[in-house]
Amino acid sequence: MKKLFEKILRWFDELGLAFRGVLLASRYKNFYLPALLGFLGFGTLLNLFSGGLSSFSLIGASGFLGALKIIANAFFGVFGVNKNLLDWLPIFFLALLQGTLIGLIVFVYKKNKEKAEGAAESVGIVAGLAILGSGCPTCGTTLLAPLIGTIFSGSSFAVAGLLSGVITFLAVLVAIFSFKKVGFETYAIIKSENYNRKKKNHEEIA
Amino acid sequence: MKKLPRILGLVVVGGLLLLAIITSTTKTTPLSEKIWDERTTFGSLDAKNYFIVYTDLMCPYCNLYAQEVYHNESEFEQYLADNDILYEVRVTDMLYDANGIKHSQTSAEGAYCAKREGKFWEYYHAALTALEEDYYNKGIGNSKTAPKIEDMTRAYWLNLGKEIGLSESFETCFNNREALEEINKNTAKANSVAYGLPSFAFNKYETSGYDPTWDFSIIKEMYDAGLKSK
Repeated sequence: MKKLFEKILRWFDELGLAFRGVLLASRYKNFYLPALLGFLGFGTLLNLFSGGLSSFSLIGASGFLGALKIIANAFFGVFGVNKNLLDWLPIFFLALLQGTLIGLIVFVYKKNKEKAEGAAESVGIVAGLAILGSGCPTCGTTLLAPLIGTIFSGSSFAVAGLLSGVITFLAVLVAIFSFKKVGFETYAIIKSENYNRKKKNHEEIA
Repeated sequence: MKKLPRILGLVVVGGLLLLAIITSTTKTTPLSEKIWDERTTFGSLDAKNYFIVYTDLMCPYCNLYAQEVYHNESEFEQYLADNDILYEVRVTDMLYDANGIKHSQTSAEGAYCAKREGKFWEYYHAALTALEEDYYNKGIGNSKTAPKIEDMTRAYWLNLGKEIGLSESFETCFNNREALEEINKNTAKANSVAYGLPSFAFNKYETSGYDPTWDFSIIKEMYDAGLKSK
């Protein structure tokens, strides 16, 4: 029991250091550029999926300007434009988490390829789960609804709604675990680089 | 060895996503056959183009779509006239059937009983306005994350009929649940062709779901896609 408690404490300690890793990395363009692109790209994608497949279907059926209008609408939706606050917040935070994760992975990958191994799969899993969980569960427009509908006939929307909730929760969970791991690596890399730089400066002065 | 579960996870999620997209885009029966009921249509019955909307009065995004159209009524009517479109609204209780939302059925009963008096559109518009004023403007029931509508009673839908001046036969139809059989039949038909709500069949362009950030200009893109699909 004591060991478990220590493990949990250590996990939260590392999560705290992961947050500090993000703060330290925010000065490097190897982090903030991919993070920004990831945040905007993933946020736009989640907004496009927020009405099921209707946006994609319309993009395919519209002309260039029409498609551009729909994509621009989804892009501005990342900042809450025309969005209901409660609809916007989960998308915003998921996109922020995913963007930060992408930024951290690129940063760690550029410094040490081996340490970033496996994290890219996590980004894919988070993205896939988040998209599967998006849409309106009550209205039956989640991507999962037709699939569930072929298995359960009567209460398919309710089952799809429940599953969407579980899947979105899983996406957040995987994202947090990956964030802790890569964020902690980032913290260690930056701290170690800073230490080595200072040591070298001292040696040069001496 | 540690990599295997992650790759397996990625493959499972990717496969599930692909399967979901395939089932979402594969429909076996066309949404549009012949008109269900002339009393819920708008435009000429001989029109060259036929647009159908599957809806449920308790579906928030169906109503956001309908409100956007309603708020641009003159432009919408002009569009239908200019492009020779027959527009049909098919009210169902799909949310009762698939989700157990009680007032989905009650609201459909109100709409069907009003239809029997030839006042479907009056009731439909009155319902949209009432829901907007009583709930949506207060942030209740207007999205998937908003608090649910809890205090609604059966009388809410009965009173709507009274407010627009429907006769006693509406009340009788509503209280005796005379429209239930027709609703069940129509919802079963809708369930076999429509995935989710709202569902649209604009000529051969078929889609479901509505993004609440869309304004009327994007709705017109859907209509244009319908016209082009013929």
